Amino acid sequence: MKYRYSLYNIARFLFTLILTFLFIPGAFASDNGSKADAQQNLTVTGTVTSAGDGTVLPGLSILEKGTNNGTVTNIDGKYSINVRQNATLVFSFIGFKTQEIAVREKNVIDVVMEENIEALEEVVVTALGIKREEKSLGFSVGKVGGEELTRVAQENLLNSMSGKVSGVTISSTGGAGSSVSMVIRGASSLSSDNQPLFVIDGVPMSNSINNVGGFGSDNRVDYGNAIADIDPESIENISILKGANAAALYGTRAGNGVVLITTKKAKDNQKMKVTVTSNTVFDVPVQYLNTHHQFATGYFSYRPEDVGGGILPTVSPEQKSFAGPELDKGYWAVQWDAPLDANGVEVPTELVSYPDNIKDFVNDYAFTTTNSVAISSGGELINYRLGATNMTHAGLIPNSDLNKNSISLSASSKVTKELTVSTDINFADNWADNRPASNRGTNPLQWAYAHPANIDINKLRDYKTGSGDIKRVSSAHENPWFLAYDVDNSFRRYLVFGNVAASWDVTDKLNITGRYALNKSDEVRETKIAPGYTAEPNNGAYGIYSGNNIERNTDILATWKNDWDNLSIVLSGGGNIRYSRSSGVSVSSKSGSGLVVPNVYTIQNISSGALNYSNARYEREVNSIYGIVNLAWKEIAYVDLTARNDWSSTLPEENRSYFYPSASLSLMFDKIFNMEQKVDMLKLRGGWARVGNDTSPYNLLATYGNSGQWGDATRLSKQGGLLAPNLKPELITSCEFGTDIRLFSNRLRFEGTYYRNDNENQIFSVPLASSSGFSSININAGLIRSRGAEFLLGCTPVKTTEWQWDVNINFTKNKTTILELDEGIDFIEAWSEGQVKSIAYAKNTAEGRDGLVGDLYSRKIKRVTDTNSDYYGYPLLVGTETNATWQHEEEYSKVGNYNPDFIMGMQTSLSWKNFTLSMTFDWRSGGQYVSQTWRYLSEDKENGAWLDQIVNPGVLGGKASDELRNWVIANADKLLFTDRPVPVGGPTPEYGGFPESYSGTTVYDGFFAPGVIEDGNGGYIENLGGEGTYFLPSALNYPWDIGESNLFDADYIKLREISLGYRLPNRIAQQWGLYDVNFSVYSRNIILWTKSSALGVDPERAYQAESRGFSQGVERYNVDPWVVPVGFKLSFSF
Amino acid sequence: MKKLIRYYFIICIVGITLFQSCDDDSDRPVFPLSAEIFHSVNDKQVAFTALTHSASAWSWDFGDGQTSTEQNPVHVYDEGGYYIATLTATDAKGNIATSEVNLAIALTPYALLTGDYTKPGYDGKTWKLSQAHSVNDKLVNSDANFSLLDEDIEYLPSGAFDLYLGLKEAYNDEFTFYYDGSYKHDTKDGVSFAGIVYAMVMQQFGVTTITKTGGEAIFGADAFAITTYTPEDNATFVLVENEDFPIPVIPDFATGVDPSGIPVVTYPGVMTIDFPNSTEFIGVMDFYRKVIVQEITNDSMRLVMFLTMSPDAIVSQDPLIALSTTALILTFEVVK
Repeated sequence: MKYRYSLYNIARFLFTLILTFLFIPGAFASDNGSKADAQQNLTVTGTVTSAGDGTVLPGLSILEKGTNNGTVTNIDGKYSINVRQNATLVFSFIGFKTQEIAVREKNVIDVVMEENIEALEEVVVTALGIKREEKSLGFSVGKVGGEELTRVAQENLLNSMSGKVSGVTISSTGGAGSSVSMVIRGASSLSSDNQPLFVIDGVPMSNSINNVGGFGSDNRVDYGNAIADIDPESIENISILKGANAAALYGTRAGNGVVLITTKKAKDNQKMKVTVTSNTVFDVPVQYLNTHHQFATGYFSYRPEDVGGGILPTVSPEQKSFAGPELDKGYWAVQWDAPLDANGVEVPTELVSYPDNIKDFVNDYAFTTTNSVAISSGGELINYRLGATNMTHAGLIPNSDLNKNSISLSASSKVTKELTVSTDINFADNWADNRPASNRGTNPLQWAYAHPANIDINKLRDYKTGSGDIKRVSSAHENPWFLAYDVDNSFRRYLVFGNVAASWDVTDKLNITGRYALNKSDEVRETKIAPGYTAEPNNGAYGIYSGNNIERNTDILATWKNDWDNLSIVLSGGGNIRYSRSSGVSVSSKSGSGLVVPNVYTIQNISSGALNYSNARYEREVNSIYGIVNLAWKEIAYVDLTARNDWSSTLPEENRSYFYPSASLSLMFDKIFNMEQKVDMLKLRGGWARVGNDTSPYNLLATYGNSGQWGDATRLSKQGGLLAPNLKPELITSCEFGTDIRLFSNRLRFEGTYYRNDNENQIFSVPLASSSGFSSININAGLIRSRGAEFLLGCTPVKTTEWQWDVNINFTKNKTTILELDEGIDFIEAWSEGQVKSIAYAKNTAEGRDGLVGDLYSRKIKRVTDTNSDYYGYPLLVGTETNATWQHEEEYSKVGNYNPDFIMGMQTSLSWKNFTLSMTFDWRSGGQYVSQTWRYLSEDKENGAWLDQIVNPGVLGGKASDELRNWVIANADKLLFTDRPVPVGGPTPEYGGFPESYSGTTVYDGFFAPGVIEDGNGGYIENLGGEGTYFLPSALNYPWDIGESNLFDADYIKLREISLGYRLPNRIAQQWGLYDVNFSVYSRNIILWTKSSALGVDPERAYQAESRGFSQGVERYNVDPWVVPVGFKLSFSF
Repeated sequence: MKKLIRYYFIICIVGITLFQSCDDDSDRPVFPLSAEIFHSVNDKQVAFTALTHSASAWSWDFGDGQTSTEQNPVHVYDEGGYYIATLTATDAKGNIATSEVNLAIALTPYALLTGDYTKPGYDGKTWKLSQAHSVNDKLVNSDANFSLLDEDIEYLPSGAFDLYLGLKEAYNDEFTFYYDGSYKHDTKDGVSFAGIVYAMVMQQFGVTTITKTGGEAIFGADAFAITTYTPEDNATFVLVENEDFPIPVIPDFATGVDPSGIPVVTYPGVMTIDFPNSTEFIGVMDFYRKVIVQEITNDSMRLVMFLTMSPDAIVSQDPLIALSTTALILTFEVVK
């Protein structure tokens, strides 16, 4: 109750505030207006031109100073305004210096506007929202402008940054609405998800990607990360503070970098402006997984000639292998849902393929429309901007959706000349009636792909049979439509965040700013599973989670500036109190236990023994003080020093205080050597910083956890791991060096940075001997070093009045190495999937460990190791007649790494008159991933790419022979010495299939694994295609135990964005009373090239949703079709 | 302004229609004229289905003087017996294709089991275990409902004893039933398929020798064996069309006890085959030889064979009394 009361108070406060800002300007305006009317007795006209090229400036705003009376120039740069005789006119335009001109009874005032050089000398937002000239920075800051983010609509704002900033890796984990991972300068923590801190107008927002929830058996749903709640339309710009140097002032949370988002504000003296933007995109699926539809389900590929008649044995979907009789050959067999004859007996039908099954299952297109409207106005007293955006998305999976409404208000007012108060308030309402599940289980796509090729999937569309169970092809199959419509994973997340700030210019030199920021979210997730899912056989399942988070930050910052002749100095000091609290309640039916009666989704409908329940809450507080010194000498040298001390509640008292200093230097060589004529900028910079990281709350002392009910007894348990009361903060030491070069009037730009981060004292859980009574202990240990380089090359090859062509290329390379772990830990295993493990070992050259984060290990094919043998290096097969296949070694060896070698992004923009063509490319080179989809679909023989890989022996097929054996040996490189085992043979005689009789009928669907078998006497028996070779049915031909068979390169190039925009000339727009009318057609995220498997899995999606979070470098049924989006965007202002 | 919005929406709509119109119709291949017959028999009613490619007309001769031009006729024969039905399919160009099928109409189970003794050269009717199995072939508990032994094994897949047990010899034995009631068993290779417990006991008695065992990979312990066996000369069989069949089972499965106090389950109203006073059996050799006939047609039959899978179920050594724990439901096919 108490909590509800406080929420109510906050809401009331915000509401009052909004009202105040909405109505006050109107009141002021009318007041001033009426006074002004009486005195407006002079009409001033004139033309406004640009000093640079003499062209007229349409749309420039002119305001009578001290009033709300204003106008804008027309298309010819002309204006006309009625003013008082003693008035002063303010001419302002983006990119130009604002001019104030006294009227002095003149009737004609022509104005020449000078370009604002300072505006071009880019100002960037740095830590704590402090705006700095870029040249003064001793570290690299990534920048993305608001227009870059909205040119092409993306459901998650992070996707809009892909390929645009160096040093940043952005990866979608799934389709629209899924979590998007952003990692800056490589993952350096082995225990966290390495996501940066987001700060929106001073409001910190953490953005974990571990948002996988869902109740019920194998029902894993990614609800998307909180950053997706931010409306890109309201963003002015984004600064990415990549390293500890840039982010040191954020202390504890700076370890993974900081993304600073500044929202749009009204400009001073800006007349009322309404901007409308409408953005609609259709994602049209163009490529599905390369599954074949050539064979019916079954384990043997019978042909009529094999069975001595025209009717083949019953084709049963229970036999899930797609290795049955060939389809579209005119064969007959009794199939699923067969018609009945007069005797009630199932009648054979023709075996035909349904190649469009997946296409028929998914929607024809996904549809996203984002519409927003913003009102902004600036006056003497108050500036405000109010924006509202609605997004509606209908996914490719039937019945999947995503919706978002957001409202943002930012306002500032000069209360007195010295005091400015401002606020930013954002409200976002995100919800979905149903998010599709991923991974295996309730994922509709998994079952759409498992649907037999010989059955029309549309037969399952009306899945309600009226008889209890739902329509399915076998008891081993789920119905994908049922999963899409009746496994319902909904969520609703309300987010309120904002700040109230006051800035007081005490003197010319001293400013004090105070800010209170609040971020509060409430989320409810609900799962309703109707009867019909085989893993929830007891009337389905139900679960509900409700959680809320709040974070308050109170900051105060005092800044004192002084300029001497050559030296200017800025001294700042401040403090921060951060308090966060989080709580959640989760109640559900236990997996498989189900509900009392079907279709009633309440907690009361779960019997007490089947109830899973838990709640959790935590609090954390961090108090900090910090200081900054900026020194600038003659625009030649800049020195920044920062210091911060944190006291964290999550660490033991004696270790809870930690201090982080940083220092950076920027030297302008162009100024030192007077190269200003030839060089626009030549800067060298460098810096050193140290930041710390506390631990999660309640990691010091043991607490009791819920273990559920046993009969009438409530059980609590102590955690198995021993907590350490003496934990120290994690410590990151970073240094970076770089250079910024600008040549030819900024038409050639280069930025380069090298960095090194040492991450020490990471908090690890180390296994303990069970005799201690505990399974593990938390310790501080390890040294992890990230090293990398980032480059940015920008160039404007063409720039005329009509043409402009810009190209920006960025390059990122990072290597993170584990130099030390603790003595007690040999390695840390992140996951084990598909016979491949993601293991982090400490670097140890003697043992051949390179120590790289992201290394993948697997057991290679077991081979003949006797160097004297003729068969040295040949695969050593399991020696049984029914299973003569490859086996693996005992030891694991490194087979890959999931991190890319480098990332390169390219943005190009070509404009001609009012047309602009923009493109963003993203190239990731190197890196591997495990495709469980490949593995499962190959094991089930559904994988068309695998079918193509099986080696067809051509004329040598069909029987064992010496010629075949010799051919195998002649092709030993391909068939025997490869790391990826390849079977020889195929499912039909056309594929070179060999005869096998495991069904009692001889069928030509056999293959053999080339290799040798131990004879038990130190010798080997050949299985190379000669007499005595074991031929097995093709249904068994996938090397399930060999991890490298499902390991693929992740390289790809994506066209992240392509957009063709047209800006309507203002003279036409004005006929409708509009300006800034833009129309564009665009597309996004198109895979241009990939080294990945021929199955068609998007390697970017190698993030597997598990209930504990995401496993990077592995995917399982993350198989949304590849789409070509077609989007349209229209925006205008009036 | 209005115009602009209208323009925008027109583009959107054009977009949608374009995407939808790219549905490609998949072309099915066309096959030359061919004809196959599928039929089912219910007493004297036979439902015929013509499985033809490219045919435009169908003509049937049912072999009893009656004909039809329907594609899928249903014909009721006046009298039971053996018939040959012929289908002639004609395509648009006048080409013809024919197919015929042998029918055994309204025959007694005994006739179906032993074959047409009036045929010249009659030498009984020979059956063997179907290696292809069927979805009705199961490994079950010998309880009243034949509940699945292992929920994960819903039915035996094709070649199960070979692929999963490595006992391909199980499929070799041939079993011939004669109209005169005699029975002939040909092991083909001197060995037969048996339950592991039975095979071990017989080996202890020195009667037979186990040559192979199988099942450890699937069940965690061997469950079946291949063991030497010499068929008996002059064996006979008895087919009972309808009886209540009691069999000793472990107490968990019992529905009652027999007069001597041994727990039994009784299957009411079942058809059985037994081999009185001999060591003969059909399918799998175990303590009990009498089997239940679940279904019999001219081409196939499905039998239930009882097994004792646990040594604990041998409750008496002398006389040897083993309680059944398990049953195998298997399809047999005619050897042509």
